[in-house]
Amino acid sequence: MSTVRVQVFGALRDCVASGELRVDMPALSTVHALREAIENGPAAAWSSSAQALLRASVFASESSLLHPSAVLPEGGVIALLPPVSGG
Amino acid sequence: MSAHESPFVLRVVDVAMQGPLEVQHALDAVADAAFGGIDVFIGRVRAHNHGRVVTGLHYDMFDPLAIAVFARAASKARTEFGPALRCYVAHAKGHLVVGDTAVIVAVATPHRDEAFRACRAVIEVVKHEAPIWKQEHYIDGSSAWTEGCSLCGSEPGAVAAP
Repeated sequence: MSTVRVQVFGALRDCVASGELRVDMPALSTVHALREAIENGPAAAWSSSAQALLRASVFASESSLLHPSAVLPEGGVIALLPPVSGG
Repeated sequence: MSAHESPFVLRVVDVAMQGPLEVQHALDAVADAAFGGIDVFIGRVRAHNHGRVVTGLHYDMFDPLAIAVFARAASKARTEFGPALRCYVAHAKGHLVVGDTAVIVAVATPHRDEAFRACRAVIEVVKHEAPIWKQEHYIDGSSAWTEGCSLCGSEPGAVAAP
């Protein structure tokens, strides 16, 4: 197991005061497994609207979005991105 | 344009640290003696949204991926509209008030048609794909994160933002 640090942004900051989730995951876990671990862990106590926001959010590295079937990158930043509204 | 110089200038500007976005920076960045057309899009903070009076905004960003998205948008424009193209993208981060500049996209090409079309293409990518979030502050003292576009859509069971 290792601790995966997930930075959150936008409205998800209202759910995670520190701006970062820490989730223990087995080695070679997928992005989908990380989502399930967050849904069943810290997000289980969130409001239903916050849980819906989580379902509408995607995971990303510093360079690209991460497909659910991808293995979690080691060591780098993982970001959890709610729907975007730039410009 | 010299061969060693990048045709793209891409910025995330923390307005508290670096000051406001400047249109002149965009014009300087894309200027090229071979290019006769420059199109500039400027996005500013407006005073109303969905019937509510807005006093200011806070922009949250995931900087490294935002820059990567800007780069992909600029590269795609170059692929689509030709290699003779320079592009500047800058987006503000932090607290802005009504009238402040939130985003600038500038594109220079030899002629106007490609500049107009490429500039439009790049700002659409910035609006829909860059990891940027807007929290509006209202005159009654409340605030709200604005609804946005879900990224990617590859996630099973994804739903619209609440």
